[in-house]
Amino acid sequence: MTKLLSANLLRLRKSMLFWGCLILMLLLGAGFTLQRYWEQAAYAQFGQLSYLDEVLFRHGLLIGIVMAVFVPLFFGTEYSDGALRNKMVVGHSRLSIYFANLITAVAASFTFCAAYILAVLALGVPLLNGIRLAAAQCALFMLGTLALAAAFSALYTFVAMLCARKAASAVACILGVFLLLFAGIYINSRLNAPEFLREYSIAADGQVVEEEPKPNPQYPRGMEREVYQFLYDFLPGCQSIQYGDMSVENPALLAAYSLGILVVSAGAGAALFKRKDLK
Amino acid sequence: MRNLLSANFLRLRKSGLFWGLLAVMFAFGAFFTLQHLNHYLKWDAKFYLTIDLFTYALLLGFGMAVFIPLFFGAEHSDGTFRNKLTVGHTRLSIYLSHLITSIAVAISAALAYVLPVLSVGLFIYEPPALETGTLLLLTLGTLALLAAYCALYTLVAVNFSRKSTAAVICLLGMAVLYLAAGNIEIPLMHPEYLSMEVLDSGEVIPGEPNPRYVGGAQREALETLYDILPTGQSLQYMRADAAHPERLPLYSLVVVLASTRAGVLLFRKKDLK
Repeated sequence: MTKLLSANLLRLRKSMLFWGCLILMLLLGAGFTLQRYWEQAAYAQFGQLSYLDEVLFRHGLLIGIVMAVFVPLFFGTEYSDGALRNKMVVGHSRLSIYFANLITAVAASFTFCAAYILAVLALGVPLLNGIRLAAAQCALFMLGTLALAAAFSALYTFVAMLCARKAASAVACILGVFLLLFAGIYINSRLNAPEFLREYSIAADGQVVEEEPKPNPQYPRGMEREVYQFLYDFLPGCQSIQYGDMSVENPALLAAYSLGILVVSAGAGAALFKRKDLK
Repeated sequence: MRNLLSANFLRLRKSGLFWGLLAVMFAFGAFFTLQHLNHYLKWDAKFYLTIDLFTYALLLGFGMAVFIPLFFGAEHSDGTFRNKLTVGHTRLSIYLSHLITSIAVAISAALAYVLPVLSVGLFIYEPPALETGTLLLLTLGTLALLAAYCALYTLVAVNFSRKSTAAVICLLGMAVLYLAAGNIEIPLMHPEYLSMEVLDSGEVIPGEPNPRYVGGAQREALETLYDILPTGQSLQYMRADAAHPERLPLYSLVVVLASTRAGVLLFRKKDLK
């Protein structure tokens, strides 16, 4: 296992894809921070202030997309180059290969997150206002975003290790994350819909009359609302949306769900990979 | 050229990817329609026919970004390109046959989407609040837009030998263009004044100016960019609220011509090994 990890880390160090993703995260961190700074400067006369915590945890939104590209392309070559068979021929078990790749993917995702945070802190500390969250809350948010990055890594490792075709696994991961993000946007709009719709009409004397409020069909009620709320907290794409707009209410619960996804997908992936025909 | 097209259509008929795309588009159309049908039956909600009619203009931006690199990328890995050249087809005819095939696929997928929307929607939706001419223009515009998406993705798929790289470029490119259109849309949505007062005489007195409103040359530039970007057009067609419906198909045709020209030039110089 140690040798497999060393080999993976050596490949990472020489991988253009890895360095490309790292630079992209640095640039995105710098870009988001500067955008908030320019917005603050442009609307200073109206008293608009930008705070560091508005952008500090946005890697939770980005990491799902970056890892959807990185994991299938980086590990997919192991199938096409026959590296998987070579590893088995020299005596490594399938389990150790799977978990070495998973650990490498999680380590890469943490490195990308660190690059983003570094860029935000380097520019945000001198340019933006401080963090409004308490230290414990801040630590929970950080833990939650890292757990989310690990969950995404585990899901993509599952796909990349079980699908021998690199192009197909890349498409599955990228489309998967977009679907999850769109699901997040959709559920967010349903949960934030008003319960009643107010309608107004103009009477014959010109007075504006408020009519009886009508129930909004877009507002989920009862069990439906509970299901939506659970999915919004559980699905990684929905968690990304919450970290993106900093509307997370219970970061510990979100982190617990992410760890659950990590454990279940790693277990299922390893079990299926053990039986896979590697030709 | 005719032989190339026949071969492509024969491959299409046997392709799981093609039938999968049609099934997914049909499922999207059915899902949106059933959701509205549910609201119609439960709450007596009223919808215009245009509410979901043109959503395929956005969905197929993503759908074709998957289909084209995977379907045509196989020609690189299987050596089909070389075979076609060996039997005497020109690179231009190979490129154009791919483009025509992909446009035909996009139109078939759009029809698969529209089928459930119209079959149920015509009975439950209100007739569109648009003139027939505008509706036709919007329909034509979405077809031109699909051609633009196909031309852009064909450029990438034919010129990148690695199928996975082409697929990632097309999908991420679509996502970046979608985000760009969304970011252009936000400043254009800000109203010019924070409040308006309507007098009894009908005269409108503007209130305090909105500091976020973008006006003048900057607004024109943003609007033009929003109209040119395929994803900007997709968003406008989706809501059936295009401000300049007559301009959009022209921009799409320019995108088709420019990207096909660039794609053919690159493909002519490409080393097919």
